This record gives sequence, structure tokens and C-alpha cells, in this order.
Amino acid sequence: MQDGALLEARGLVARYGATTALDGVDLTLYAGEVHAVVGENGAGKSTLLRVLADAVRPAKGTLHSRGGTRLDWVPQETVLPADLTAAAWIFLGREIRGALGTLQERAMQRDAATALQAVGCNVTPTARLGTLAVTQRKQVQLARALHAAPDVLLLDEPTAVLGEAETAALFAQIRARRQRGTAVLYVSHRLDEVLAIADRVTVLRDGQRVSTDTVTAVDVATLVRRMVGRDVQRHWNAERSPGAVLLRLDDVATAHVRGLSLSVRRGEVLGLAGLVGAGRSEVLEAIAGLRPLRGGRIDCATRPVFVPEDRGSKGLVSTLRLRENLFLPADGWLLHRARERRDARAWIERLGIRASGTEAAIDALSGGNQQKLLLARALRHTPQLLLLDEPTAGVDVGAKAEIHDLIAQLAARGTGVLMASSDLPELLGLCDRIVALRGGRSVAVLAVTDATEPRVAALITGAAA
Amino acid sequence: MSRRLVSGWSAALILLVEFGFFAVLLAPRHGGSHTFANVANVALILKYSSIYGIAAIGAAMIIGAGGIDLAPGAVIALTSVITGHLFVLNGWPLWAACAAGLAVGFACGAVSAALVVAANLPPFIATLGMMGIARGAAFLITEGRFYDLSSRLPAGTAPLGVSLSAWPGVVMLLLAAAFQLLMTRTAVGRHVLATGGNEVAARYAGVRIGRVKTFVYVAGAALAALSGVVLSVVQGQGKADLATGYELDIIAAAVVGGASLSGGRASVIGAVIGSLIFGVLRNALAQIPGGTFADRFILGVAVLVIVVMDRLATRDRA
Amino acid sequence: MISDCGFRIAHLRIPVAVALVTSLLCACSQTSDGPRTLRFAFIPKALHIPVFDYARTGAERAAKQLGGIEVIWRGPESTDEIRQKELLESFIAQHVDGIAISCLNGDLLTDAINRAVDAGIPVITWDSDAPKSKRLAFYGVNDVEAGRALGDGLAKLINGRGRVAMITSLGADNLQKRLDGAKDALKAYPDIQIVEVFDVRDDAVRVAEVIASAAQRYPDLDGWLSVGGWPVFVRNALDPIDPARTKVVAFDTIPPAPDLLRAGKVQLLVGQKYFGWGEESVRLLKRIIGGDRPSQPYQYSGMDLVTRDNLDAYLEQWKRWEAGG
Repeated sequence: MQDGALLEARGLVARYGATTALDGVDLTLYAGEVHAVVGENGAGKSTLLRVLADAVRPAKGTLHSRGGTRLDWVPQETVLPADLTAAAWIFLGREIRGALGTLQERAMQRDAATALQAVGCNVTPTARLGTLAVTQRKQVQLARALHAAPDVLLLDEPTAVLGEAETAALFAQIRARRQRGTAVLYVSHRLDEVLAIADRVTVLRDGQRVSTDTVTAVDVATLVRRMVGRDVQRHWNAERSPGAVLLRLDDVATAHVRGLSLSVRRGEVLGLAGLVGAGRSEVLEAIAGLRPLRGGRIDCATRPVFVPEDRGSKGLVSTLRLRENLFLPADGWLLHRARERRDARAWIERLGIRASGTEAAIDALSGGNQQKLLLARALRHTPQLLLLDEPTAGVDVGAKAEIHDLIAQLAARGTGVLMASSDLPELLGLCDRIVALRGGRSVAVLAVTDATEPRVAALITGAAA
Repeated sequence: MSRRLVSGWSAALILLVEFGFFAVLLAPRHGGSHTFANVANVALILKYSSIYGIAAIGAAMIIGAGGIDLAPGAVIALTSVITGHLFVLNGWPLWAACAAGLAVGFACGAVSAALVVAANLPPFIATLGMMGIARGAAFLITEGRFYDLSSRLPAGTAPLGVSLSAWPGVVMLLLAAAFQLLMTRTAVGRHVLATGGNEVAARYAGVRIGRVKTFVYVAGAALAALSGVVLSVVQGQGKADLATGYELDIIAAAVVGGASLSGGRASVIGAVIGSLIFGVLRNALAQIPGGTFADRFILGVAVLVIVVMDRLATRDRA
Repeated sequence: MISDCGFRIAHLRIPVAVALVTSLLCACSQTSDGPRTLRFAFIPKALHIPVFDYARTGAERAAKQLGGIEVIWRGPESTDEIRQKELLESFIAQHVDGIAISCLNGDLLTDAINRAVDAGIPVITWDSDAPKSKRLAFYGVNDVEAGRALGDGLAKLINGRGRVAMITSLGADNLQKRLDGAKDALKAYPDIQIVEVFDVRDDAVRVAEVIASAAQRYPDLDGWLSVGGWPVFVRNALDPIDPARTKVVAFDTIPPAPDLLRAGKVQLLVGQKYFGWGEESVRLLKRIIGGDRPSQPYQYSGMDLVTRDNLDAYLEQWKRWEAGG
């Protein structure tokens, strides 16, 4: 093994059934470096982490680590036991015990609070995980891993559900650890972030390593080209003429929101910007009829179709197949399997879902493909009004562009879209108007022509513009 | 092949191997007819397994929907009591007494469903309460006596031309076919499994969770009631202490047949086969010389082995 | 990453596991080898009722003495009538040579017993009868007489006047007959009043509860009459009773009943012929197969009335029964 290297992988091959996820990948991880791994979905990034974390055994290849190297892995999914407290999760398996072996609750809560604050999380250590939003759960996961202070830290899309402030806090932690010699393997779709935090970046495509460079030697465009193998267009036609009003909210109140008024027209894309906890998901759920209103009224000319965030826990049923998830609820009383298979194949092709077939297991799909499946389910109803909650969270560049195209096409054909997103560039690229939420209230409604990323960010955080 | 389908067929495989094994083990040593592998004995196994099997169909659906039902044994008893009372003491015609018994089953199911859906009680608690109420009602009605249906049923009664002894098996197989179709070919089946697999996601997708849960609990109780009606007519007695503790055997049959207690997976055919697996085991153990007291032990070990193997197989496939 | 094949193979391990366990138990069992062993199936009410263990001892001993007989002792784990019927039907299907059964519910079993007899399998009942069936014999105490003995005994102990409570278990035919006999005997004593008849559902644990709560409800009870042995199957069920004030008569003399009798907690016990249930049943079946059918079904065993005075003599006799005399 080379000097200073903590992990060395040579020729890793990993397969899931008939799919080859990794096809001969080499990687060396040195102490004190942040090494980013980027690639489209299905390129093999998560699989690589799983192999390194020893959760999946490679079919071929070698993996060596320097003796005594401790490794911690923060996976992409944020499914945690609902009844444990944040402190309990952070200390699970490494509880502080007193002289008689009893648990030292106060010490653990104190340390947990420190760990949480370090990642910018203001959750109390005694909060139950089930009550936390997805962002906070991710922060608890990160706090746990950082607290364990391993030699190697594997992070899979850590900022997919984090906002700006939280990301900044995480990066501060990562830099501090790097100073102390920790190696960080950082998998992400957010190329700007990658260039900001990493020392070296490896590009994977179709399970193979395309390149490894120091971060100063590449830029976003180069990375995208290597990831996708082609130049990706990020333009879409935002010249639309909205029609009649489809949805109107008057002074609406939910658990965390008060006095919200907005309207969505046919053919219009309205964005909901806000920090985590601002109440965006609640508003969408209330419009979809899944949550009771605490005040105000909602007028909807049509039945809206809702695509929730957090597709793993709120979107797809993992015990059912792809086709069954697509046709949920089923049409009519009897199931027409042949017809469903035919239609499912058409949707798979139309949205470019990469799956082994109509009967694929949900767990075998990558995040981006799961999201596309959720969208397909929604689009099957040819909705006039579409409610989207974080439609491209944890989705790779190529798929993200495809989904954006899709939304743009829908708007062009007259569908009204109400979209909540933490990805400001996404909102700026797609929406006609943007509603900025802060502290449960709408603080501004901007036409996209008047909006810039700094301005919107300032509005939702309350910082000086 | 969907996991559910495989479960049903692998349960059938277990049953075949089990039967074959005992047929070989219990083959007569000194010539003469086979005491285990003969038509009469198979008919016997069918008859007694049906008590559990019919109710296990309901249990499979409830478990598939993410719930659980502890009341079937009590419902069987209550139904047998109602049917017996009306037939023997009130002189109702048999079909009417049976229909009344079934109606009581529906009522029990409706109460369980209301507790789970409207009052939002955990199914374990709700059906535990139902179990107590049904069993208690049965004891209240009978005051410890029993109703002798056989006194009003002439010997050799064969409704619709099928001898009384064959009814349980026939009913079970017919219901198995019907509900298997329901679970695999209709929207109801998919919605049941979606509810059990991920209730939140199913709700967000637009599945009417309340209706799904109401359906499974009412159907489960109705099936248990049907088992009770068949039991009281075929065995000729309605009594309050019948089927005590049967709910565990019923749930075990469903689980062995492929139902996952975490919800989202279940097989109706598998549940019926599960009840047959236990029925064969009970029947065969009675024929093995020695170890009377080991029977329960063996049954317990067999259940553990089956469930553990099932867990490992599920994990491997993920 | 394990192939689907492994899934199937995993499921084959189950029957293998069942096979291994059963083979192990078969290896431990004794099978009688011999050209023409008569197989008699003995079905008690349940496996956990201690009284029937003596029947088993008696049956197996008689089988050994007579030779060429195998006693298959099988019963339901709990007093589940359906399970008992299932066992009976299973033995009919196995074409055993004889069946001896103590019925949980004689009416329920009547059909099956008749089928057995019609198929050529002799059936006799012991301890608890199925009177409407075609069983060829019933061996046990004359329940009505036994009940009368209890009633008379209690009446004499309380000098013919007072309030008494009774303990039974509803459903079994023999217990009902004893109850009828006891009530009949007490009719002759107009100053004796039966306040209540308690149903303990054949549960020796429940009887303690019943007696304790009754002691609250009827503090001035003069006597207890139990047609079954539940109050004397456990040591402390009778503790709430003050023997100076309240007299107790009960069925069955198996331990710890003799100790309770000696301690004065109970004054009169009616003993059945426990070993006889097994011994006589085996002999009866053998005779019937040999062509010698009893002329009438009721083979009364006789009973023992045990008080503190004749307790020692009774225990001596017990030792002789146990040894096989």
C-alpha cells in the first residue's frame, strides 16, 4: 500500500443480479484528503461506498486498508427508528456508561447537543427522530458519524436534503477533520459544492472510473461532460402565457404556516422557496387534501396530483414492484396485467427510467429512477395541477435535466405546477414566479425576471439583501 | 415471479415434502394398509385443518395490510353459540341460523374495524378487546351449557349432496381460490398490500386506507364466523369455550404461508397450505410411537425453523 | 447477491429439520416388535391432568402382564374437545385394535365412537362416559352413587343443617351425574340449603380463586362439596376455609389430598380406582377382542370413602396397587 494511503481498492467489480454496478474501479484514499466521487445515477457511486463500507461483497477485485483504520458511513437514505431520541442515535452502540454500567443520560445529551450544533442543527438532543424533518434527520446522521471521529468518513449525498446554512456548517466540520488527517470520500450530485470542498474528484460513468483529478484542474462543464459523455443543455423555454386560475389559497394556515395567499394558473410554474421547517411540504399536503387546514381556504378547480418528497418513506411502496407502484391506486376493480405491463414499458421509455423491467424491485432502482417513477405515477393521471415537493432531491445531473424538461413541457401544454424546492437554480430556471417563505409567512412573491439567487436566498433566510 | 407467488409455491413444496416424508416414515412394516397415506386420513386432515385454514385466509389479508387480529378464536366460538342457540332452542331453519351466525361475524369485524380506523387504536389492542368481548358474550349467552346441533340434524345429512364431513374442506378450498383471485387480480388486493407495505406512501398515492382496513377486518371476522358456522354444524355442537387459543395457530398458518408480520406481503393460498402443514404434522405426530409429550415441542420447533428460514431467505434476496 | 436458487434450497431445509427432529424422537421410542401386537389407543381428557397418570401406569402394567399389547397414550394438551375428537378420528383412521377414552364431551364424541364400533374397533369409555353412544362398556365409579355418598357424608358432618356451596365443572357427563346424586341426597335434609354451584371449568388454579371469593361472599358457610378433585389437587386452595366452622368433602384421593385430609382441611374424600381405569380397560378390551362381550355396559368399579380414621389403611392399600397387587 502506498504511503499515506488509508484505503486502496483495485479492480472492484460488483453486481446486483444481472446488472454490473462496478466494472473494474480503482481508488486510493489518502489521509487528510477530501476525495469526491461524481457521476450520473446508475454510475456506481453508492455501490462503491457500499463496497468500501463492507456492506456489499465485490465479485472481483481487492480492497486493502491500513491496519486499524476505522471507517464510518453515512448512507443516502435517512430512514431512522422513529422512537429513538437524537442523542440515543448519536450514541447508539457507544453509550457513555458510569461506574455500574448505567447509562449517563445527561453526559450523552450534553455531548449530543455539542455534536448537533457543530453541524448547524438546532434540534434538542431529546427530540424523537420520528418528529424531525428529513433535513434534521440527515444532520443527526452526520452528527453521529462525526462524533465517532473515524479515520475514513464515507458520505453519500450528504447535502441532498440540506440547505445553505447547514451545508456550510458541515463543510466547516469536514475541513476541520481534514486538518486532523481524516480522509473523506464525498459522493454528490452538486458539482459546485464538490469543487468547493474536495481536493480530488473522481468521475464514474457506467460503473467505470473515467478520471481522477485535483479539483483545481477541472470545472463543472468538464465534469458534466465526463459524467454524461455529452454536453448537457440546461436551457428550457420559459416563455409561457399562463391562463385561468386553477388554484387559489386565501389566508391559509397550517401547523407552521400562517396567512399564506397565492394562486397558480394554467400553464404556470410557481415556485415555493424556503428553508427547512418553513412549512412548504405542509402547504402542498394541505392542497392535496392530506392534511387539515387550520385556517383560510383553498379553492381548486381540479383535483391536484401530489408528488411527495422523501420518496423512500412517503413515495414508493418497496414491497411492491415497479409496475404495481406505477398503477397505485389501480384503475378500476380488476387488474389488467398485460395492459399495465404495456403502459409501464411506455412510461419507462418516455421518462428514461433505468430499470431491469416492469417487474423491477424498487430497492434495485437508483434514487433518480425512483423519482422518475414517482413522476410517472403522477403524470399517468394527466393532471391539470401538479404539486411537486423537492422533485430532484438526490438526483444526478442527467436525470435532473430530463425531469426539468418534463416539467417545462407540461407547463407548455397547460398544466399548472406548484413546486417546492431547496435548489434555487432549479427554481430560477423553471418557474414563472417564486413565493419566498420565511418563518411560516410569505415574505415576497417575485416574478422570475426580478429574481436572482442571492436575492431569494436573502429573503428566505432573513439576511440583509 | 413476484415474491408472494413464490411464497405460496414454496409452502406447497414444504407440504408435499412433509407428507411424503411421513408417508415413508409411517409405512406399514408388516404389510397391510397404510394408516397415514390413505384417502380417509387425508379427508380427516382436511376436515380439521379447515377450522384454522378458513380463518387463516382472513389473517393473511389482515397481516398483509399491516395489521393483526387476535379475535378469530373468540369469533368462532361466538358464532357457534349463536348458530346453535337459534337452531336448537329457537327452532330456526338451519340456513337462517347459519346466516345469523355469519351476521354476528360481520358485526364483530365492523367493531374491530371501527376501533382501528376511527378510534385509531393499535390493531393488537383493538382485536384483543374484541376477543374478550366475543368470548365473554359467548359465555354470557350459554352460561356454561352447550347447544347440541346434532340433535336436530338427522344422521347422513348431506346439504347440497355433499356429506357433512366433507364440507369444511370444500368450503376452505373454494374460499382459498376466491380470495387468492381477489388478492392477486383485483385492485383490492393491491391496495391491501400497498397499505401494509408503506401506509404513508399508499395514502399519498391516493389509496383509501380507511376503506382498505375496514375491508380486511370485516372480511377476517366474517371468515372466522364462517369457520364457526361450519364447525358447529359439522361437529354438531355450539359451545363458548371452543377454539380457545386458536388465534395463534391461525396466525402461524398465515405466517408459514408467506405473510410477513411487518406488512405488505401475504399469500392466501400460502395460509391455507400453512394450516395444512400444521394439520399434517398434528395428524402424523399422533401416529408416531413414543413421545406424546414431545408433540407440542416438535410443533414449536418446526414453527421456529420455518420462520427463521423464511427470514433468511427474505434477507438473501434483498 | 445470492441467487434465487438459494431461496428455494433454503426452504427445503425445513422438512429436513422436521425429519431430523422426528427421527431423533423415534430413535428414543420403544417400538414393540412382534407378529401380532394388539394396539390399544388410550385417550385421557387431557395430558396435564395428574389423576390420569395413574391410569397410564395401570394400563401399561396390564399390557405387560398380558403380553402382546401396546398401549398408545395420546391426549389433547388442554381440555379441548375438538382436539380430543380429532385424535379419536385419527385412531379410527389408523385402525387400531381397541380404543379406551375418557370423554371431555360425550355427546360430541358419540358419532365418532359409533363409527369406530361400526368399523369393527371396540371402544370402551372410562372415568367419563358417552352414554348415548355404541361404546361396549364403561368402567368407572357409579357417579350417581358417588355423588350421593358425598351428599350424605357432608350432611352428617354438619349435622343435617346449614348452608353449603358446591363446586363442579360444567359439560362433562360424569360430573353432572355426581352433582345430581349429591343434590338428590341433600334433598332428604330440608334444613340444608345449597347457596350456589360454582363452575371452575376443570381448572385447579381457578378453584382457589373461587373459594377465596366465596369466603368473602358467604362468610358463614357450613360446608363445601366438590364433585371433582380440584380443591385437593393443590395445597392451598382450602386455606381461606376455617375447618372448625366449615366442613369440606371432595372427590379424589391422589396427592396432596391425603395430606390435606390428615391436616383436617378436608373431612371426606371419595377415591376412584385410578389404576383400574387403565388396568381394567386393557383387560376389558382384550376380552372383547377374544369374543367375550360384557352383557351390559356399566362396569362399576366401586369407590373408596376415605376419612382421617381409615387414611393409613387406605395408603397401605395404595402402595399395594402401585406395586401391582
